[in-house]
Amino acid sequence: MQARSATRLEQMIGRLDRRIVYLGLFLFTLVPLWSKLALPLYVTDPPKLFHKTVEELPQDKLVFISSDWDAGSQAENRPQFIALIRHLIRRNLKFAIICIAYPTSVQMAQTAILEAIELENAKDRCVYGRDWVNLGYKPGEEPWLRTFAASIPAAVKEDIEGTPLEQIPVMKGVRNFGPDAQVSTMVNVTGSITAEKWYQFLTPTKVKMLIGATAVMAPEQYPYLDSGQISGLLTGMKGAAEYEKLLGAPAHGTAMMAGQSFAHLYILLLILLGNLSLVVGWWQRRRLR
Amino acid sequence: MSGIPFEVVVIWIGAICTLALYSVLYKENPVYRLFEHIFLGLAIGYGLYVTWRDVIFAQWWRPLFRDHYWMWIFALVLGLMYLAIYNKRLSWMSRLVMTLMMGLAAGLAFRKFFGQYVPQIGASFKPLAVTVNGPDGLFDPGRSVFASFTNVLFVVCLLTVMTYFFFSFEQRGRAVTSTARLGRWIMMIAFGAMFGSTVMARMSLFIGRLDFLFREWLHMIK
Repeated sequence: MQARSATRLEQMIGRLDRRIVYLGLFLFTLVPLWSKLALPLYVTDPPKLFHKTVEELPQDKLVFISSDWDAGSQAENRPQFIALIRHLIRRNLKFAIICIAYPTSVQMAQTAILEAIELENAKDRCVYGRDWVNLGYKPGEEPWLRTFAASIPAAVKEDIEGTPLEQIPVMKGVRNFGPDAQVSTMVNVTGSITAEKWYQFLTPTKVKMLIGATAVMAPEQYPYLDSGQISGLLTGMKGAAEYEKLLGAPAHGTAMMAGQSFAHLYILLLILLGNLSLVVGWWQRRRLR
Repeated sequence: MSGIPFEVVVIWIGAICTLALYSVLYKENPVYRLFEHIFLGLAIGYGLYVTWRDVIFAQWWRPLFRDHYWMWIFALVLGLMYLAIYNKRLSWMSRLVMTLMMGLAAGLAFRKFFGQYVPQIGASFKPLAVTVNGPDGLFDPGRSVFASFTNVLFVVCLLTVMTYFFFSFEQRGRAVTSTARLGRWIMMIAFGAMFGSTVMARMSLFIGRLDFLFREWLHMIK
């Protein structure tokens, strides 16, 4: 009788309609977002290193940002990107944007920068052309990347508005990457495989590299952090929230982490429930034998 | 319609598209199919436009016809040689250009290895006993033990996983098979961590959409 009820439990769990599982996930995610019910957030070492590196960047040099995210990964990359821009604005660092993965990234990066400028109330401190520039989309194929790594003006002729590079104040005299060159850092905020391309071509220049990756990609980036090829790493939405915490500027990343934490709890609960039903069933059958 | 701000229209379109695509979670339906095709069509159309604007026009047409770099004409010749594959008599021409590209790829692969992986080989030579000083500059035994343990664990993982992938001779003997088995377990743990990270990424995408629907569209989340 006990064995039959255990089998029924297994069957009940196994035959649970997936729509009920989805509904549970929907509620577990939405309620914390709506009620601002958040679990504590601890800052891990990779975002700390990321923050420290930006904090120590020289102010007379340019920061290049390869913005390779689009609608598909914006939930993770956009908060990272906005937090990064806010940090650069606070430190009065000049920056240039380039996109090598998705053509749609150009406009999304532009909108995100404008939002960061508004959040920092820095319309007069962060002026297009003087303090930052958007160089648009370039097909990130190897021959182009090779040229770009060797000489920026040889690979990029103008910005998204068609202004020649030599007429853009922030790009004046900017030619190379490296510790002694005009570009001190390359930050790749990415939802694509672009980080590997930058490692390939920029590691020999010894320029500092920082990565803001989606959570799917992040485990593959840890060996590069360990080897010193990158100086900091942001992992998905959690990385964005940690970076916002370090900046003391909670925004989208922090707000959405409430949903993230409870969604994970829900999945853990489902895994426990599924395994429990199997273990109970196995134990009951074994007792009957 | 003229009184409605453009941003509001965009948000409504975004919300309708999101709901239509999520409707597949209930069951497969024609609305989902319609929006899936619209999305694919838009992506391909936009991709073609951007390829023309940012690649063909910006990188080839303009240098060739505006700046008169006539050498760029060879790019067209090489590109057209690919199409010779459709003609039996001329297909040798496509092989020429493919060989050229394979040579280029092989050369770049060497560069990739040196730029991407060689620094990691160097970084894998770690000291097994590490001494770490605390913030006061004095020897910190706790952190030293932890740092040493981390390095030992790294070396164990490296050696066991490499043993698992060593196929040059048959893996026989208890020492080798046990080491390889440990390597397999370590990989399983790593794959588990990667899968957990993947789940986190998928949840983030879902939360991003929920945030859009309930914050930007319905204004239910402040």
